Amino acid sequence: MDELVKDFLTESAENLDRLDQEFVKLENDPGNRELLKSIFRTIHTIKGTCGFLGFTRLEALTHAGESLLSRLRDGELELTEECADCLLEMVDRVRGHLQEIESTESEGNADSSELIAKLKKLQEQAGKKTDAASQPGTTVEKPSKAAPTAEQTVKTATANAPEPLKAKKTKHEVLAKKSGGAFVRKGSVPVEAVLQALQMQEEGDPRKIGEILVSLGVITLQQVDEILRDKPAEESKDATIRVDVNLLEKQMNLVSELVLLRNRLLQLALDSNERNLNATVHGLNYVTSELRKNVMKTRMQPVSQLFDKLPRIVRDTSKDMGKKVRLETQGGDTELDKSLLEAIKDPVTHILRNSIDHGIENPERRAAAGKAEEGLVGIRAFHEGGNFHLLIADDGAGIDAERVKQKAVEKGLVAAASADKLSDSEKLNLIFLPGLSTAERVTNVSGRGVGMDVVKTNIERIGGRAKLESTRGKGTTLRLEIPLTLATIPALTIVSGPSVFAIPQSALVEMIAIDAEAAEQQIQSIDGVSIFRFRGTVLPLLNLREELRLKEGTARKNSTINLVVVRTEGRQVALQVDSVRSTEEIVIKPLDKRFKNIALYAGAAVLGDGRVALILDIAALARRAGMVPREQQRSAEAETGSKKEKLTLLLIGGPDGERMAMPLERVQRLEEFDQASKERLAGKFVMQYRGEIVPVVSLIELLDERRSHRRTEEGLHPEENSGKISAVVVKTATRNDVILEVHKILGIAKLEAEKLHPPSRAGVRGTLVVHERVTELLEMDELFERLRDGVEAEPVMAGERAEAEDVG
Amino acid sequence: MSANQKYATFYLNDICFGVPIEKVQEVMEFQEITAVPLCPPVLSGIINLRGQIITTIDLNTRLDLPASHSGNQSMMIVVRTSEGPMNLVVDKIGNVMDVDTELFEKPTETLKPGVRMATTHVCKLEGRLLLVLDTEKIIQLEKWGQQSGS
Repeated sequence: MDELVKDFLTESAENLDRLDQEFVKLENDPGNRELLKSIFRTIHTIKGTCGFLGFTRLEALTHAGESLLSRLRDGELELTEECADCLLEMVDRVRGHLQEIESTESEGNADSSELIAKLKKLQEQAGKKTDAASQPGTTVEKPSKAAPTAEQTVKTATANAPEPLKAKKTKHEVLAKKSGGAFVRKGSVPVEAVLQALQMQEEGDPRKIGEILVSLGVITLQQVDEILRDKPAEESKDATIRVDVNLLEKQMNLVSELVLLRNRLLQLALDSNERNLNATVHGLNYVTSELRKNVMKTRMQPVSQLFDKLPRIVRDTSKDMGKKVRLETQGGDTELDKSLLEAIKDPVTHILRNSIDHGIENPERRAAAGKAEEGLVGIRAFHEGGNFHLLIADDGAGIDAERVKQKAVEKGLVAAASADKLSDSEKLNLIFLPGLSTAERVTNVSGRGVGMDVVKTNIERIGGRAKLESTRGKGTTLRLEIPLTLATIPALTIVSGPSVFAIPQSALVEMIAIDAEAAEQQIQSIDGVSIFRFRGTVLPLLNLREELRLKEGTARKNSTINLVVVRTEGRQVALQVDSVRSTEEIVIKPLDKRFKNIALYAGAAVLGDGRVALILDIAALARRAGMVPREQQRSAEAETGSKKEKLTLLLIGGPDGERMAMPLERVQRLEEFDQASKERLAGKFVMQYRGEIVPVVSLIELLDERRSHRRTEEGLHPEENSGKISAVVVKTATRNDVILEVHKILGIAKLEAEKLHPPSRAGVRGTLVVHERVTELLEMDELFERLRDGVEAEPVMAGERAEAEDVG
Repeated sequence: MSANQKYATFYLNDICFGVPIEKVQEVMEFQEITAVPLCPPVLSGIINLRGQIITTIDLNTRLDLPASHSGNQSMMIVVRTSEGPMNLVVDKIGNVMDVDTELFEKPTETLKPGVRMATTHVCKLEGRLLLVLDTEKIIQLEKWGQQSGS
């Protein structure tokens, strides 16, 4: 493409973005001549270049806009909403043409004659208006083109009429934002007067400097206006240049390479013991570090780049919805890596639209609720804990956690039984599940059932987190937490087999080294599925060697087992590695798409010693090993395993050789107790366990009341009265521990969730075949329900339940 | 119409192959390859080329030829492709040859299917064949998937 056209496109795109903002500002401050001038200039430039490059349609369109703008600028017309709409539409059309030019190098055939006609009509009204205005009574002097209208407005305002007072007020608001410096620099006000004004302010005068100066009589209000309006133009000098992002990328690569070379050189210098060389290398060391820091900095961009695009979105969306919304942004100078800024653009826009569409109520409803008619959406950016935070808050109706839950259940995303037991915050965060929308109606803005899940995925893709908080009637806050840069991340490097791997620090919980003896107790491995008992929790254990099918041989016969506990999608997993190397800042490089199919690596990195390490995608690794995240597992359960999800089950043997299974994720710990540690309390068994009094229930008793009665009479397992009992500590949905006494723990099985056969009795979700044995899959929530009811359920219930569950 | 074209040549299992010289970014001695576990066998892994991560293809496997025995004596050719630089592992590097394109013939049916697939032309030189390879075909992913069955 022609270099000239390219330049024109980049320049215009930036200018148009600014236009959006300026128009929105202008609507709030219709008399601002500086803004009008700037808008006019932009359109004028585009028009001029179009004519030069031969884009006639674009030229005609911008010409119409320019003419209208010149009338506005000269004050022959006031900016009405209709006018602003038309102009914004023109901006959008221009943008469309520009995109067309970018992709096809021609301006396209979009017909804008209607819009041009509209713009012309508005412009003619302007003519009429000035005619009318110059007739009797008004203080407007002869309408000369050169006379700036802003002054006229002020004159009329000071002279009479209550309505224009508003204009005067905004003027003073404008003054408020400026400092005294401009007055002096312009040379129109003596320094002493400004100093005096500043002192008066310090002494408690609430007025603005401009106002004080006017009251001191050293300057007129008009002069104040002129000085202040000219100020921004005077100060905007370009101290920046445009750089191709690819060039920065290349520079970043070269600097990384330089860092590696420096590391090697440092080592060599140390070995050589030569003083001069050492001193020089240390100098190089320092410069390299600084250089690296600075190159990284070039990729950082203030988040205001994103904020600047938002007012237009708020204006358009709220207008479509018939709502009044004010946007407040804070922390626009907070910096973020360019690629990340790009990545959060869509999610943030989406959230903003959601807030306006679903969050903020109609003016009437707001008034009825005792709120200001105008809704508020606040966006705040700040750095905290090495991360970039973005809060998006509205003061709207809030989200009803119950309704979110209902919807999720209706759409079959969550099983009703487990959904009821979620906390409010958990219910609320179900909104991030794919396919969920609580909007009563589908608008063209939002509510199509795609959205929040996409927001979450996008944020998580860049290593961030999204969290929702909401108070009914008060509003909703969405919290995004994003790493500052993707350019480098701290990572732990580990060795497994012949290779070095990197684990992002963000996924790391802790590292544990255990000796073989302890390992025997803490690690149980059955049927290729391992668990690691760790501080009272049961973690799934993955051996990296096995997962990646790394060749044996180089394995060090080590008595110590190294485990790295990582966090992924709300769960913790222990990874067994050969050895732990170190922590390094690494530069993530994308892997060839040919490796994407493996889906276990998040990229590759060149380490300090020049070696290449693959960066492990922990979430994918856990998924591959059959540990589906909690939410997905729930949904799989809801569909009774119709999806081919992998389930990890704890297998339990009954006294008569029957087999049962429960999802491993419900298991907190596996324990062995002395029979004697069971105590009686109010006719039930309890146990002192980790400082709590925890109920002890026999699984068999819970499942089959008739037999339990018989057994209770005989005393529980009389033959084992003095021996040990096996127990599974489980958490109920209400988060209380329960010790489930079982006959025998058989092990763990991992299997693809197959179709369940209908349940055999109450408390069982269905039967399935595990290791060629018929096994009952327990419905934990239902079992606990019975526990709460005091084991009163009649055996008849079994049949009814089975029908109600509608399984299979 | 006669024209001369320069080819960088190399050997796999004593067969002489060539790629257009302008496709070659650099030739280097064998360096350590980082294996990528679970990847198809045709991919040897990745290498660090001055800070850039470059995918490495085992050309013998790619062309269905027996594995080479040259080990660390192997050489690497980094070729420019539509998807950026790719590293090819070959047995031995040959000369740069100036070949008259009039000598080009279509690949014969007698070539092994794996080789024929990626060969654009065959050229008879003094007592020896030069097989001209299409680098774009070599790097095509879909074919690999089918080949390696993963």
